[in-house]
Amino acid sequence: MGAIVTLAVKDLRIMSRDLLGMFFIFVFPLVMGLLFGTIQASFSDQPQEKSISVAVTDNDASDMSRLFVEQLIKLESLSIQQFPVEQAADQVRKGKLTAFIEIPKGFGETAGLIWGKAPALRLGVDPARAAEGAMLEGMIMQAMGVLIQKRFMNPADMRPQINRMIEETASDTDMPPVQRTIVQGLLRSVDGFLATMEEQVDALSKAGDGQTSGFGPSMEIARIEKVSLESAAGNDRGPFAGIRGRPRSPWDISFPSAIMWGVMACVAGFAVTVAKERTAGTFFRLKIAPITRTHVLAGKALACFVSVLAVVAIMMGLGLIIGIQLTSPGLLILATVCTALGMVGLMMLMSVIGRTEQSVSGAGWAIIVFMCMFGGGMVPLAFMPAFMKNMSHFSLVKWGILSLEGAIWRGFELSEMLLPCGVLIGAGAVCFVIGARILARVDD
Amino acid sequence: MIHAEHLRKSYGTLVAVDDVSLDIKRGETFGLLGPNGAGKSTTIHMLVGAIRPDSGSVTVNGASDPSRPEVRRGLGIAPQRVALYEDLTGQENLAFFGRLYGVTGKRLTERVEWALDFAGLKDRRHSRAKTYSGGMQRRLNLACALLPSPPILLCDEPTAGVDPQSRNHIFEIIERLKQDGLTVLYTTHYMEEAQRLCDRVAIMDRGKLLDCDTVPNLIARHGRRPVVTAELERPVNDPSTLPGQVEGTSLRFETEKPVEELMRLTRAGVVFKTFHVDQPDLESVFLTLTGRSLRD
Repeated sequence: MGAIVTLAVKDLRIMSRDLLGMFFIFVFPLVMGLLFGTIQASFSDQPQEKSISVAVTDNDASDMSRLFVEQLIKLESLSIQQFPVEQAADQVRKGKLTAFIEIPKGFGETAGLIWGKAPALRLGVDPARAAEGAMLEGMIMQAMGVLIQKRFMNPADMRPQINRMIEETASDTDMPPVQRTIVQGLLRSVDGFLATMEEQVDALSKAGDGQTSGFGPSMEIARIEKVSLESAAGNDRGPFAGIRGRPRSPWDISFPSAIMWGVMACVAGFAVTVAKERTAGTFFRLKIAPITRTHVLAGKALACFVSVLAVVAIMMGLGLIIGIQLTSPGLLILATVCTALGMVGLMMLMSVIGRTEQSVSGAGWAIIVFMCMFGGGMVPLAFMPAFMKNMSHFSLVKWGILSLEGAIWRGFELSEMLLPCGVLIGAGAVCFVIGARILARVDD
Repeated sequence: MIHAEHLRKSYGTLVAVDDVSLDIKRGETFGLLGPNGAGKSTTIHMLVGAIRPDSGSVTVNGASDPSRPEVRRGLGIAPQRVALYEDLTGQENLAFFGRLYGVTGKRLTERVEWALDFAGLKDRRHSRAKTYSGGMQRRLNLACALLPSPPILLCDEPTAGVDPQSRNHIFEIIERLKQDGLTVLYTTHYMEEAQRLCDRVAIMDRGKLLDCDTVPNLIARHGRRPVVTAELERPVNDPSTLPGQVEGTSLRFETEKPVEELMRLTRAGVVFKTFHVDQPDLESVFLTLTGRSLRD
């Protein structure tokens, strides 16, 4: 054991003196974590900047047009400004605004009525921002829905419109007689329905329920109940109950990836040291020292293992300082140990893929980039296409990140940690045995 | 102390070592002399168990398996290539290899001090090995092998690529070790080193051990006679009275006893302007044995 520790201490001491290596192990991943965390934050928890700037020109100035503008203002994604239409169009042409909406005169008379022909809203969109224009159309429909609801909540307002439409239909000579009969019958039925509704509302008002009018505030197209993941899963345990199953800070997602970058840099560094020992002749010197090959390999593995633990500990420490809220310290230790074991195996395999430091370093970094790319180290797996998600199973980075996330924010049970931890240990063991055998063969 | 019998090692069709047998006695400085590629390093690697021979056997201190840690603890090995950790200081390198050989605590401190002094590196003990000159690295390489004070030292071309000053320093180190009674196996392709340092020399070429004996015996067996080259003050009237070849005032001849022959010629009236006696050496032995120069 003394020889193994001696070998490991030697490797750690050498590693600590390699400033470029230390940069890639600690500084680079930290920068990555902070960068991706900042990007993540802009998409998630932090208040979002209103991204679509729209000018509105209200030529109608009716109650309904004002209600429509109010609804647009309430939408978080829209930044509404009111301009005369010429100025609004000019701003859009210059690219300062995404679009403008012109509300025509007479809009309020028929807006919210699902039959009849209302004057059209005029929408002008910057051609370079067609996608935002399409989103804006959806938001206009959303605001119009409120107007429809408003109409149905006040049946007395709708009845004169219905009666006027019955009269217009009767005097429309272009309409075929059969169709005219059907449309008039439909409109009279609606009028009768509204009359009944008006009587009911009136009776309720006289009974003292002043808050109820029309269908009342309870009118809903669909009833939606929002539930949190923890209540759906039935978990309500311990001090962390109610916060598990979802990231609570943007760093929760970016830091496991950053940690894996640091770990992989560490692995590459140690793989290169094995190659360097071979080319520099020190491996031969170890080979003829009064120790076994097992001692040599175990020493290298121990140094790599300790380094990985240090990387995770330091990165997690920084993460905790900037806002990561750890769900399970115990499982984090488990995840760290399993990740370290897996990476020690990977290091051993990587160390024999080339004969020189240069070839091991080049191939090693290629493997790292590949594993990080497919394992969610660059882009979260959720954003990847299906084939990349399937390929991610072959990346130890994916399992490392999953185990860390399981401990940090996914709120894994011990049983749920078995899969990522098992894969890490199993793959690490296989890689180590293959690497050690190749090393023994090429060395003899 | 080291006994090898019929060692053979080949790599594919290349026979690196072919039927080599050695017997190195306690306290002896034994030289393996031969050009690059003669098989010297492969032989050493088999002697320390770093390479398994295809056939043959090795015994070190009575133990038949030199790869066993307890056997290796008695072997100090200075590899041909400088094998040091460049990012560790000289002192750290020594301490590291000392610990691997089981030297710890106060004894390790003492041995490191001794090794630094021995290698002339006390002033540079805290400098990283990569900042050392080639000669300093060679000395540190040797000091690492000597730190655990092994009874047997194997030096594989310890002076390769070093400056004359460091070379002399290494010679002095080996001579001191010799005086201390250490058993030394010394490989080199410089016949001057073998001649100066070694009690016995084995001559190797193309994997084969051609002969092994003391330097005088090897020369006596395979070396040519001493050669006298002289410049005469004036041409002699009858060149047939002189030994060897005569061209004008130049004279060249071989003789077993050059001093006696020169005195005889002087008494006979030959006046020498200059003369030079070329004594036979291992170079001539190698030439006789292989038909090639050692430096080819």
